[in-house]
Amino acid sequence: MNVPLLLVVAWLCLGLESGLSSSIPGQPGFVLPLAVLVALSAAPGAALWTCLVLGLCVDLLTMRMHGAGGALVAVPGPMAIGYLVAGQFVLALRGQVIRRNPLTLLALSVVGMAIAQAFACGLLTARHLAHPEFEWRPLAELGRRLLSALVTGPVALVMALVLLPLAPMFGGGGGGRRAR
Amino acid sequence: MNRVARHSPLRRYLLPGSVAALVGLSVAPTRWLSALGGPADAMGLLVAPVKQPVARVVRWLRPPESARDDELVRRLQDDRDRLESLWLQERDENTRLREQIRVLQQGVPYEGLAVRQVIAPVIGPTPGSGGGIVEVRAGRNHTIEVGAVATTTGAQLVGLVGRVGPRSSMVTLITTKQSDRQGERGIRGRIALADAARGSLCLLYPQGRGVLRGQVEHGGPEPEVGQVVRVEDDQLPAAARMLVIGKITAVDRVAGRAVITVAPTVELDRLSEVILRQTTDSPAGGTDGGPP
Repeated sequence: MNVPLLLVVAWLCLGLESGLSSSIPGQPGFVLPLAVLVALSAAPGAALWTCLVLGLCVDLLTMRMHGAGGALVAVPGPMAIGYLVAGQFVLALRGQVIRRNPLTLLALSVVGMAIAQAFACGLLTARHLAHPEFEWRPLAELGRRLLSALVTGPVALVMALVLLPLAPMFGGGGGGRRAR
Repeated sequence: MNRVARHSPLRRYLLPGSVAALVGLSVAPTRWLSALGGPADAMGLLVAPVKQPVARVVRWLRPPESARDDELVRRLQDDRDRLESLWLQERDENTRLREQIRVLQQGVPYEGLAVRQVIAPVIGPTPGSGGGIVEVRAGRNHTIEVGAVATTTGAQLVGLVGRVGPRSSMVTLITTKQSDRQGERGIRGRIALADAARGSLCLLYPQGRGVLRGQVEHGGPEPEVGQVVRVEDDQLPAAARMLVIGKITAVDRVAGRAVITVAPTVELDRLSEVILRQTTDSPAGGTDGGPP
């Protein structure tokens, strides 16, 4: 795996997610398609760690309101776990799909984002139950996040034009058995 | 790497251990997470070189409505709004000082109030907030504190600072809906009448679609569409006094009470810069009763 290239692309995707996502109706994700691509291309261990770290970066960039005073705190964990589960889902399916097809990235990004957001919602709901001062509306947020998963599809399709040519550099020989 | 190292217990349990730690952090008390402010700030600084140009391009592609008006007219309107707010603040301060004089005659020392202002460019909305929380380029390096008031260059209240980093701060917009729980704090405001007389008080709650809504207290003049609502809330910092919450866009009647919908005079999620107003206490005169 070309780690420096992955870091640069991840940096760009995090910047896009941070600066652009809230301005687009539905708030699509720009980091998850990258995580899906890595999960399609890389060795399983590297793919899972990459998904975990990307999700953790998204958590650190997301401020959540706590208390009537509106204090803003980053909660690490929900999206990290969500991205990890989404990555595991892609790993389980990657033998069955055409990896270099943009539509594959679209479909897996939509489903992967839905899985990631569902897990994140579950953890955040648990946080709300444990700490009522955490501002959280479970059903409304779940609906909003599932919509975000749908809107992530077209974004993934556009990103596929740039990311798919780079996929071999993220692979590092992953996705198949190594010759011994 | 040899086969032994590849299958060492540490490597085997590192991922599950990390997952367990992250699940624990997801439900950890808030005071524990506050210690993680450093990594969060670092991540924000790391992506800022990409985030800010992207946000600037978005603002260029979708300028706020006011930018389409004639520039001179907009500046004159800003000046008018600012001067009107200053006049109302001075009138309010005058009333307060008269009360202070009356109290001073009973021996209570006088305490003054100063407001420091910092112009802060808007970096962009924070992810996952739906545009309800924006990041601005002024933080502890400008001695900004949590609770500072953000306004436009006119007199429109934008929001309150909810988090301060080394070089940036997060501002929660006044139209950001926080929760559906009962007891959510609204903003108390007073409807300004055309002749600068004091209209009715109202308590406005954010609705999350760029507007606030709330009931008008009984007994005052009937509210009308187009009237300005200004802050009159002791729970907010003094720097927010008499700032504009917005204009009334709709008046409904619910159970015999007037319910107004108020929209800010500008689109708060498309601003390019805000003014952060930090209240500072400056005692003026009086030597009795103060700390050494």
